[in-house]
Order: sequence, then C-alpha cells, then structure tokens
Amino acid sequence: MSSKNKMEYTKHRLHNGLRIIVNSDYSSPMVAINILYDIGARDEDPGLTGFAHLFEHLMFGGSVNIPDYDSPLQLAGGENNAFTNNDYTDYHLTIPYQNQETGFWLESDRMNELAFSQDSLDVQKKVVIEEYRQRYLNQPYGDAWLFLKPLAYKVHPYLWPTIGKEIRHIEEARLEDVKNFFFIHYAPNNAILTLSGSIKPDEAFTMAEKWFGPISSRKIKPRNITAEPVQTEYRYQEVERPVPSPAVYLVWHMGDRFSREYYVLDLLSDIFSNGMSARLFLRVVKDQKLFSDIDAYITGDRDPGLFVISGRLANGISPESGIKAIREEISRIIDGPVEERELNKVKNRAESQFLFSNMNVQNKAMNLAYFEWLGDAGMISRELELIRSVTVAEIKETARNLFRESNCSCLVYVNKGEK
Amino acid sequence: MDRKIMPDIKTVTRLGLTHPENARLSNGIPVVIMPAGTEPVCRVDLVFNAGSRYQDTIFQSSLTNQMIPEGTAKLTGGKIAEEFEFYGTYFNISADRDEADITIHSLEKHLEPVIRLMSDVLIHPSFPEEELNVIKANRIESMKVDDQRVESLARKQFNRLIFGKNHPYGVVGEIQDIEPVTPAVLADFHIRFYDQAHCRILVTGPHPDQYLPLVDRFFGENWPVNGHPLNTRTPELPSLQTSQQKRSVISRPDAVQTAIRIGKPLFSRLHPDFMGLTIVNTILGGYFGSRLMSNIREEKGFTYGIASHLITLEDSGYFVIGSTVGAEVWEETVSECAKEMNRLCNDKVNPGELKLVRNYLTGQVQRSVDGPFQLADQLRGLWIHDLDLNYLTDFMELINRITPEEIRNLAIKYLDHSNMKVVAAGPIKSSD
Repeated sequence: MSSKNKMEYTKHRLHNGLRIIVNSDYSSPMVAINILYDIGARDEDPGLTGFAHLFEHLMFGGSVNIPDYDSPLQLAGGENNAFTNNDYTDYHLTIPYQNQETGFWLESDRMNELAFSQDSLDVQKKVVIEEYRQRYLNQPYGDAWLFLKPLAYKVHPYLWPTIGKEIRHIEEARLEDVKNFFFIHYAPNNAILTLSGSIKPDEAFTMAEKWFGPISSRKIKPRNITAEPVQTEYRYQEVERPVPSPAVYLVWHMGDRFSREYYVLDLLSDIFSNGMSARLFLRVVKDQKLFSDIDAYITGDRDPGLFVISGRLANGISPESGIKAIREEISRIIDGPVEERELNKVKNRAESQFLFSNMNVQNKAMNLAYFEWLGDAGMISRELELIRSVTVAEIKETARNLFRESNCSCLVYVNKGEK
Repeated sequence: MDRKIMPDIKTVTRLGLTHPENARLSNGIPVVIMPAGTEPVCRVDLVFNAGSRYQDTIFQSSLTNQMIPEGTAKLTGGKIAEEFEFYGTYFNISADRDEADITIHSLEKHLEPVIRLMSDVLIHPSFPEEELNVIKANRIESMKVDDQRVESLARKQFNRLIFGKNHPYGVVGEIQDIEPVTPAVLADFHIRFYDQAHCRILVTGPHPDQYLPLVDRFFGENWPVNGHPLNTRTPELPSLQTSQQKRSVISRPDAVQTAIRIGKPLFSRLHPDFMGLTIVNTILGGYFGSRLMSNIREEKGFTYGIASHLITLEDSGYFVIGSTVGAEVWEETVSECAKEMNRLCNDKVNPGELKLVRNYLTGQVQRSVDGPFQLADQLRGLWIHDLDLNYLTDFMELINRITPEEIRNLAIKYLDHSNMKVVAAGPIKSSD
C-alpha cells in the first residue's frame, strides 16, 4: 500500500474519559466535529425498542443551558446531522473554522445535561412515528427488515430494527425513561470526539478541556447482550403484500466486525453485486433475466451480522426460480473458478472507495470516530492491507462454511391479489 | 465560563476560491480544467446538451444515455464495466431535462486507460438490442414500484400541471412509453446529440497540467468535427402550457401518508430576482431551522421533513414545497404553508432571523466548494447558464447586503399562494 492510504491524527484523553482525535487538514475552511456515543439499538430494553433513535431526536430539543440547539449553530454558519444504528449513535457538524468554539459549546452542553422537555418529547414522538410510516410502511417492500430481523435473530437484540419493533413502543416512551436513558448512556466516558479540518491538535485539546473537561464521568449501564445461538435449521417466511412483483431476501449469519471472515465476505458480496460487471448482475439479471434488480451485502454490524442477498423478480418469474438461481451462483463460487483478476478487481474498488470516502472533513471525522470506537483509530490505515491479504482459497472456504442450508433465513414477498 | 453565553462568532464574508482554466481541444470542444484536491484522484465530466427536451420519442434521451456503456463493436457491456471496475473507476451516467452527463471518478494513476475506454464507449456505442430489452424490462419493473409511492405520484402530477403535459419540460414518461423505444431510436439520438457540437468537458484534480493533453488525445484529435456548429443548443422552448387546474387530488386508499406538492412556475437562475429569491426560499423552507420545518415538524409533528425549493432549468424554473405528512393533517399542512407564505409577504423578517440565515447561507456556500468534487458540482451546475464561480462570490455579497424590505418585496412578488398549484396523493376519498 502506498502512504496515501494513511490518515494522520493525534489522540488525547481527558481525565473524565472523553477520547479526542484530531486530523488537521488546512485545505478546508471548515472544521468537522463528530461525537460518537457508544449506545445503539442493541442496548435497548426489549419492551422499549426504538428508544436510542427517539433519543437522538431529543438531543436537538435543547440542553440545560441552551434552549435550542440548531439556531446558534446556524447563526455560526454551521450545519449538523445525526444517525443511530444497531450499535452506536453519531452526531456530526461542520462549521467555519473561525466559529469552531460554538461547536464545542453546543456539543458539550448537551453532553452535560438535556433540558428534558415534555413538549419536545411529545412532538418528537409524532415526528418519529411519521418517519416510521414514511420509511417502513408507506413504500413497497419498506417493511422487509421488520420481518427479516426477527426471522434471523431469536435472542440477540439485532432482532429489532433501529426505528423500533412497533409504533406502540415509541408512543409509550415517558419522560422519566428519557432522563434515565441519558444518564446511563450519555457521558464523556462513553463517547469519542473527533475533529478534522482547519484546527491544530493543541488548539482542539485546549478547547475540549475547557468545554468538556468540567463534565463528570458517569456510571454507564453495563452491556448485557445475549449471543445469538447457532441456527440449526432453515427458516422461511412468506408475506403477502400488494407489491408490483415478488421479492426474495436470503440472509446467513456471519462473523463479527473483528473476524477475518468480515473482510472475506465483504469482498465476496462485491464479487456478487458491486458494479455492473458483478456476477449476480451479469448472470441472473442480464443473461437469465430472472431478476429486475439484485443486491448482495453484509450488514456491517459489530456483533455477528448477516450476509444478505435480496432481489426483485422479473415479470412472471416465481420466487422459487429466483432462489434456485441464487443458489447456483453460490455453488459456482464454492465449486467453480474464481479468477485472481476478479478478486483483484473488487480489491481495487475497495481501495478507491476508501480514497473517495476520505476526501472531506466530515467523512474523515466520522471514519476516525468509527475506528476508534471499534478499538483503535489506527485501524483505519490497516483496513486496506487486510482487504488486500484475502485469497481466493479463503473466499471459497468461507463461502462453503457460510452458505449452509441450516444457516439461512428466507423472506419472500408475494402478491396473491390480481394485478 | 458561563455555559449560557454563546462564544463570539464571526460572519464570513469572503470566499476563498481557485478559478479554473478555460481551454479548447484541437476540434474546438470547450474544456475547463479545475485544479483541486490533494489526493491522487480526479474526475472527468462530459456534458452534452442532450436532455429530454430534445427528444422526439419519450425516454429517447434517458435510454440513450443509459445504453451508451452497454457495448461497442468490440466490447460487451459486461466487459466495459469490468474494465472500469478493475481500475477502481466509478463510471456514472445521468440525464435530466436539459443535459446528459457521462462522468468518471478515477485514481490518477489509471487515468490514461480509463479515458481511452471512456472515449471508445462514448464515440462507438453499438446499442445492442438484447441489452436494451433487459434495461427496458427492468425500467418497467422499477416504475411499477415508483407508481406505488405517493411521493412519485404527486411529483409527476405537479410537473404536468406546472409545464403542461405536452410541453418538453412537462412530459412525464409512463410504462407504456418504454416499449416503442428501439436501438435505431437511440442510435439516431446519439448521432444528433452526443457529438463535439453539443459537448463540454470538465476535468477536476490535483495535477491540472497533465489532463489537457490526455483529454485532447482522446476527445480532440480522435474525434473529428461533424459539421454542426460548436456548442449547439436548440432555440427557445415554446411557452409554458401551465394548467388552469389549481388543485389535484390523487386517491390511494392503501397509502398510510399523504404526499403534497405546492408551487408555481417561475424562472431560471438567469432572472435578476433568482439570487434574492434563493434567500427568501431559505427562510421559508430551505434549511433545518426554516419556518416550514419549525412549524410543521418541530411544533406540530406532522411530518419527518418539509422543504421548499427553487428549481432552475435552462429556460424556465419553478418553486415547490414538498412533504409527506400524516394522512389526517394534509389539508392543515397546506393551510399552514399558505400562512407561512403570507407571513413573509406581510411582515418584515426580524434582524435576528436575518442574521442567522445570512450566516447559515455563507456557511453553506463555503461548504458547497469545500473539496474538489463539491467544487466540480458547483461549476457543473452553473455551466448551463454559462456562469462561473463568480456567481458564488456575488451570492455571498448579496447574502450580506439584502434588506428585510427587499425580502418582503420578493415574497410579495413571487410567493402569493393564491395562484399556486396544490397536489396531494394519499388515502384521500376520491369525492374530495
């Protein structure tokens, strides 16, 4: 690997446990500030799912000293957003470097303490319910993961989606649950602060000490997650919906984010479907015309995740013929040839994707936070070596082990009504 | 330290910009070389005046664009894609109403073979029938999915009302329009519009001196002029055939939300009021803290999001508010939007809000040129009106100069809701 794939950064830890990482990039007139909290949907109570994500909305409802988060940020020329996934919650903003202190001020006050307003909770519950409807209920195939997750997972909290198992859980959230959630999950010792842009490391550390330093560390609720037992038989579910054409979703349990298998299967999913020359696209879409659209990917979770192949069937094709064709493509990986050139192609794609995804300050701050959360920001510079080291033999062996019938769950959308 | 007091802020009034270099290839094609970035990657945009306004068959423009990488005399579509992907290159195509693009993002070290392939694909496409049939079938399937989404139903209907369903900007393709498209229809469009006469090239990357010779070798010397005058555009479009109908309701009993569109025809970026109206639009619905977001989402919780936009086309434009809301509150949302527009027409914006919008917008302009590809996007967007990055400098200047009176006058002139179209698609009774 060339040195171009390294990212320079400086790291520091405050006495309250907050980790800070700075990547100076003076080619940008902005500073990106990213705060990752180590709290995701997997940490939720099974009776209060969707809470981590609802909470992310409440983080914009004002903090104890600042009644409104967005207005001062916009006044300083900043812009922000946030997302929640199974594993963590990420808040990010970019701001002209002249006004960076406003970013520290805003983020530290909401880490310090929220305003906890009943009005804000009531409104954000409605907003999240509309988000639930818009993304999951008001689109054809929008509810696929509401079925797939509980089909593939029986005990591990990945069995519910980030938005929540059902709308009722969001409706039932109470202000005291919100307060409780804040103090056991939002704390300097459960967060990572990263910065990229026109800022010197020393300057960032001084500013962080000033604004975040006075916040005491808190007692974080210990994580207590039950591992998913090994699946022992094929699972199948059919849902009937007025969809334009049937669709199939096949998922297999795979290793966690730290496993060797993670890199091998990431590349295998690219061999299957990344780009117009990928195998599934060429064979089952273009040649055999069985699918109008097909995709293979890994869910990318920290705990053991899923390898997914999903597709919409072409007009008049049955789900059975589609599934059969996917199984044939899997056999071609295990028993047929995989050329070095084909593997190199997906490695080259991964390399350029890495370069392209580290070209602006916001992505750099976000990526540094993610790798530090995984254990060490330095991993960001070792990712490509790991990807480069994957061999054809490993791809085949990992595929043979993964694609066992008893490791598979299958969801099929059918439309029984006339169309 | 008092946490209640906001740190001092500065209003940024100057935009640090590198300007590109203009050149011509040996066959006369205009080229812009944009020095930008530090990473060894670059981007090449080939832009053609080949959007749907020029087509004589529906889908001719977008399918020609989509079929260009599907094969040459010597290479199959699969092989072309494999070559690009082997070099780690991203090859993208897109077509809108005015223009069609072919774009690559490439590692600099592979630029030569990638440009060679790009030029072969562009100049010698074979439009194989087999591939076209697959693309047509798959396009039909994805349109079936779209037709179940209330957002696309509302968008399509709004477009018809604004431009008129037979106007080149108002034509909306439907599933039955796909079947008649043949390889000959596409080859014909390709010959007429994907030539040097309709082409402009933008190259962005850290080593500008290396790009011009390479681009000239493959798009200049090897691509003789076919006789069309350079940078040809068709004459003005017919005038808009905006519908008389003011309100249109599409009933989808099985939907769980209602998509709404409110708006009216306006003008392109070249209109003297466009820049000022962009600022008015920002206040109304152009950012997270906008009046529409504060009212409809943050106060009432009716929606996950609501926004207003000024859309500029080459020879026209329109204003539109869009949102997807709870089925039972769509009419209340429409009347709240009207209230917010009235408020802009009746009351001058207060100094606090104006300062916030000023600073937010100057930050947005800075963000919009931060990074080589963002910069390329800005330049690319301004090209259609032969504008350059000075437009952004002028915009910065106006942002910091515009007065509350000017804002109110622009709102009175253009945001009178009583002459706007309202489209709603959702679980609404058809008797409505």
